[in-house]
Amino acid sequence: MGSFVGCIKMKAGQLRIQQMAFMIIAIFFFFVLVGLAFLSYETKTTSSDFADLQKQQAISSLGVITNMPELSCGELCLDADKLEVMTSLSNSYEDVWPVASINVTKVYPKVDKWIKCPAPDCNYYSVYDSGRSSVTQYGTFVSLCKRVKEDGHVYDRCEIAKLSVGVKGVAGQ
Amino acid sequence: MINRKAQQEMVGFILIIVLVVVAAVIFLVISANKPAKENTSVEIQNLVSSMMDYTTGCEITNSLPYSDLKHLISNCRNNEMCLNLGKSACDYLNESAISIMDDVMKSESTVSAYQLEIYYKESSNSSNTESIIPKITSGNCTGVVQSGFQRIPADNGAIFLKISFCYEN
Repeated sequence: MGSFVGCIKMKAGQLRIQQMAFMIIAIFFFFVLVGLAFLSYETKTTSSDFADLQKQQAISSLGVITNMPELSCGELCLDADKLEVMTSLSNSYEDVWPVASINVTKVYPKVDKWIKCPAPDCNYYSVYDSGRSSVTQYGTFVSLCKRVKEDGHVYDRCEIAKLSVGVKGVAGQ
Repeated sequence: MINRKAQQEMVGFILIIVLVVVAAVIFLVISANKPAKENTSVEIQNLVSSMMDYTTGCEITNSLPYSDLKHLISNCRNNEMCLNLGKSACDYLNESAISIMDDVMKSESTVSAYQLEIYYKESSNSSNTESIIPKITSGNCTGVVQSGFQRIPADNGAIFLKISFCYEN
């Protein structure tokens, strides 16, 4: 009788240990799942931040183009006259450009029809095109200024344009 | 005896639930208290700079050259007139700002909404702002907001031109 009671007590104890083990495993898996969800969220945010940073850096590097004396008329300013000259000389400068393509398009005042420069009332400059395929395009806004003479006054008339540059093989893209 | 053991297990289970809830609440509070970072964008900053240099069609002194947008903002604050157009600098500034933003939006396919503000602020610590022209907004924002601004020193404070774009993911 005594051994029978002892056997039942032992079985109950084993059951209790088993129950506790299952509970611990369940809690462990719960925290693992929560941790995985948190990690995937953080990874997603970090990779999105990284891509954003890459883009911002590429746009910042467009400053190199806008500051080139061959095109520039000041900070974030492109000289329309210089652009016209460089458009016709683009092949001679092939080794100078650090990028695959350079285009400048007028944004404001409004453009109804694209006319490639040099031409009267033109609004689109294709400064350089290496002909490479699979390039990533980056663009930023710049001032496009032209020295004009009106009623005997000479002044710089500035418009808003977009400088687009084709870059080959940017990490993270 | 059996009843008491069942109660003990229930208490243990409730304790675990309370522990998990407390951890979740702490995590949520920390996430919510993270300061919302003002996303400044180089692209928008460059747009603001090129807008400031844009040569308008407004002559304040009745002689060329025309005012650029930066000066037109100051002219507006001083309640001056565009003599060649016969309208106030503020009206012309408002029209120009709307027109510029409409055309810029046509070149930005990923932007779903924008906001342009031109305001005067006495000091950087001051929360009081005086609008130079009414705020210009368009579209509904459901994505990520990025902005850029430029500061023009004026009187004891400064005039700010701030543009915010809403990018769809």
